[in-house]
Formats: sequence, C-alpha cells, structure tokens
Amino acid sequence: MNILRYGHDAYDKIVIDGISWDMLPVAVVAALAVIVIHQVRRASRKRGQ
Amino acid sequence: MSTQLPEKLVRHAGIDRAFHWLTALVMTVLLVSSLLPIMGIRFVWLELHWSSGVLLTVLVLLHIVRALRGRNGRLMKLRRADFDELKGTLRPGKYSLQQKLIHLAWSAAILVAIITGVVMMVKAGTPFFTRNPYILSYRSWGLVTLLHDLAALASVFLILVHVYFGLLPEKRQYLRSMVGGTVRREELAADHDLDRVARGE
Amino acid sequence: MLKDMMPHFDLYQPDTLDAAVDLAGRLGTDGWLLGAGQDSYDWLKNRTKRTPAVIELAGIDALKGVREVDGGLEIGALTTLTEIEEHPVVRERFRVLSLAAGRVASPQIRNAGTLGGNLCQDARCWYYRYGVDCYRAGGNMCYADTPEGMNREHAILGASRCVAVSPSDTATAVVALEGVMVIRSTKGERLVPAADFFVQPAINIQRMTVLEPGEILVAVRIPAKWSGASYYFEKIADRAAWDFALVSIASVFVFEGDLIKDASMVCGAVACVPWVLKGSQDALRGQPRTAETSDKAAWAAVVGAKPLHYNHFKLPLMENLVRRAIREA
Repeated sequence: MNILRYGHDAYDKIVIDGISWDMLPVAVVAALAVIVIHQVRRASRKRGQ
Repeated sequence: MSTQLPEKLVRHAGIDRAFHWLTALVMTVLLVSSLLPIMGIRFVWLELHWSSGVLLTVLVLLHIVRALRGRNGRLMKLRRADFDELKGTLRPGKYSLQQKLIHLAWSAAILVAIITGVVMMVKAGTPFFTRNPYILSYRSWGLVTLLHDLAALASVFLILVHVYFGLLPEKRQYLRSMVGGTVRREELAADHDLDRVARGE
Repeated sequence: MLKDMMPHFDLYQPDTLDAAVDLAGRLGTDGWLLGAGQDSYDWLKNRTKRTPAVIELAGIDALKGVREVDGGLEIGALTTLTEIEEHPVVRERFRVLSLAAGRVASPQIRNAGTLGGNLCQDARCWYYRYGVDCYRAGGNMCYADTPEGMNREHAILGASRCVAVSPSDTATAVVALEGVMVIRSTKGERLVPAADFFVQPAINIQRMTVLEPGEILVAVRIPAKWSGASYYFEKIADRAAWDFALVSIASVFVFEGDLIKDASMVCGAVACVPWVLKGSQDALRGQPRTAETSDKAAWAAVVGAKPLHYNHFKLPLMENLVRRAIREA
C-alpha cells in the first residue's frame, strides 16, 4: 500500500504527483471506525442510563 | 429569557438550507466524477468536474458573504470556551462544539479543494484560462495535486461521518430543521442552552 | 547511463493462441504483448518503459492470414502490412485498407509490421515518447499543449488535457470500413466495433485502446457492407516514406448515379482516435457530388476544431482532403 504517487520531472528528478489512491479505502475505513466507536459509546451510555 | 422563544424556532433560513443542499449535491457530483474513473468506471468526467467546481466556488463565495454580513458567521465561530462543553460545564448555544468542528473541517477541506482546483484549471484547459502549465514547476504541481487529493479524501471521510450523525435518531431535529427550517423549543432545549440561543450566542 | 541496451525481461514465446491467452491472463499488467516489436522495442531500448515479461506472439500461426468470411474478411492480427497491402481480395474489394497498409512507414517495416501492432501502437507524441511524466504517462502535465510546446503534429480535435494523435494509418481504414475487433482473454471472446476500440483521452487518458491487461487483439473482421465501394485514401506527411501522418483520410462511398448514397469518412492524426467525420457523412448522404456539397462536408469536418500554437495548418489540410476524397473517389 502506497501513501503517495511519485513521478519524474523533465530533469528526471523524482517528484510527488499526488496521493496514492490506495488511500481511498483508508478514508472510508477511518469514517467507519468513527461510526463504530460512536455506536459502541452510545450503546454503553444507554446501558449505563 | 428562553421563555420568550416561540414554540417553533426558525433555525435555518430558506437560503441557508438551499445552500446546504445544493452544496451537498455539488460535492457529490465532484466526488463521483473524480473518484469513479479512478475506480475503473470510465466516462467523460473532466468537464463535469470542473464545472461543478466552478458552481461550488460560487456557492461558497455567496455563503461567505452572507455569513460575514449576518449573525450566523459569529455564531459558527469556534471559541476556546466552547471546549467547556466537553467538561459538561457549558451547554451549547445555537451550534454545539461538534457542529462547529464539523463546519470547520468542511470549510478547510472545501477551501483547499477550491483554491487548488482553480489553480489546476489553468493547467487542464477550460474556457476561463489560456492553458499554461508553466505558471508552476512540475514539483509545485505535484504539491497542488496532493493538496487537492487530500481535500478529496477528507471530503469522503466527512461525508460519511456527517451523514451518519445526521441520521441518528437523537440528532433528527437538526436534519428536520435543515429540511423544513424550524425546530421545536423543547427539542432544542434537550441539548442546547435556550438562554444562550435567545441571546444570540 | 547507458540508453542503448534493453533492460532484462522474461521472454515467453507461446506457439498456440490458447497458451498466449493463458499467459496474458496470468501475467496481466506484467505481460507485454509483442508482435513485430516496432513500437515495443523503442520503449524498451530507451528504457522509457520496462516490463517484467514479454509475450511474443510471432509464433502463433492462428493469428496470421487473410480469410474471406460471409462476403467480408477476417484478418489475423499478426498478418503483416505487406501481406494486407498485396492481398488480391483486399486490393480488389477493400482497396482503402490496402492503400492504408501500403503507406505505413517503409517497406522494411511493413514486411515485419503487423496489423494488430499498427492498430494498437502507442501515441507518438515526442514528449510522451521521451519519457516525461505527462498525463498519458500518469503524471500531472501536458508538455505539448503549452504556449511554447512543439505541437505541430498534435491534435486539433477531441483533446482533453492530452493532445497526442492516433498515429495508425490502418486504423482510419478499418474504422471507415466499420471493422470489428476480435479480442480474446481468459474470460472468452469479445467483439468491439473499430470506432469504439480507440479511447478518447476524456475517457481514459492513459490508454489508446480498450484492451485490458490480459486481453489480446486476435483478428480484425471487415464486414461486406463496403465491399467494392468507391474509395479514397491519402496520407499527408513531411516525408513520402517512413513518417507519421500530419493528416490522413480514409473514405468509402456508395454512389447512385449522381448522388452520394452513403459515405464513411475517417481522418487520422487530427485527434487521439481515428476521427469519424459524422458531420461530413450526414452532409453528403443523398446529395449530388458537387463542389458545393464537398464544401459543406469540408466545413462540417472541422467543426469544433481547436488548433494549438503550431498546427493551425491542419484545418485547411483536413478540409481539402475531404474535398479531394469526394472529388476523386
């Protein structure tokens, strides 16, 4: 899994081209993690009440 | 003072609700048009993407002008004192800490996307600019693209989180107010300090 | 750094189509398909592109030859351009294809070069070929479409960030004849109309054709529709031989007396794909073959053209080729 995409400029120096799209599922998983953690906390708060 | 508030409060004016839903639609088009080709679903996407970006820019500029002129801009401002909500020593006014933080996150992502996107339009070729990629070095273009990509990823994250919280039963009042414009006083009182709301905080 | 030696790769030389398809399926993006190699070796010897493995198709007899099928033709993808140019049935009934094949490069290249290779060859934009990371190479820039870019030979139509042109001479003829590409993979066979085989940069900026990793172009089928039709092919290039087109045209017509009953006209080297002159075709159908008709068709051909800094000449060139095609078919 890569974080960044790399390319070469006209002088053959390595440069960053952008984000690697391997990171797209990471963004989705991060959001799902927030949702799951919130659901767990919400459920434990309800049980506590 | 909170007893002076009516039974049904106007939480969002029509123009603000229109801005919200139009922006949501345009953001969806922007993300779909850019990410589906990356996922292998091929179609003519570039013109759809930058013209939606132009529309988003117009919407955001109008929103900023309206926010700076009216009260709502101050209401959405994040203050150090807002973090007392986490300690439980302060109840929110119109907007809670959570709502201010999500607004801040969205603002940052959208502004980065717009600024980098407009710059990238000079390179991509649109009717607005004579195409000239040499305004920046190749290395700089890479950084501009990286920022634009990060804004896109942040937007994917924020959409999922924002929609999740919007659909929660205990947050339903916010969704209803963003559709219909109003919220019931006792609903708002459950999570907000009505005195602060009445004072315009 | 040495630039005249090829980097290492594993060479596979299957002798049956099934073996080649299986290899291509297993290797996927790692398997570079090789016909005669006249596009491939440039990339590999210049080390601009590298591949872990090469699948050489030259030993597969099933991919060679011209066969008559249902009044049309099926031409194996590994058939040489010389064979296509000189084949009696191609010359007699689909002469536009014979002429197109005969204008590719030079006799030496045509003796080894294949139809599949000519159709599938990569863009010839010198910035892309030099190895800079342009959009087509997965990067963030087009070096040709800039105020100072050397873009004399680049596109005037259908550009979307990339302005490279389709360099294939046979592609224009195959599209004009409404050919169908036969593609094989481990998933089976699929048929793609020639006009849909080539990919515009607006849809996929990194690909010239719809071939996916693991797929092999095995044959081109030319239907009987334009068999024996009047034809015109012309390729304008700086040199009379061994040069890519500045603009080319392949056209077939059916005449009914003085009227143009039907027309199929395709220009090469004006866009990233063989450019079908739909507007011109519509302007011609049912019309008499007159100067006025050909003027309308010529003007329709360049609608939407956006010339670059150094290729404005392609507009009158394209218009005049359309007029000449109608006049001399």
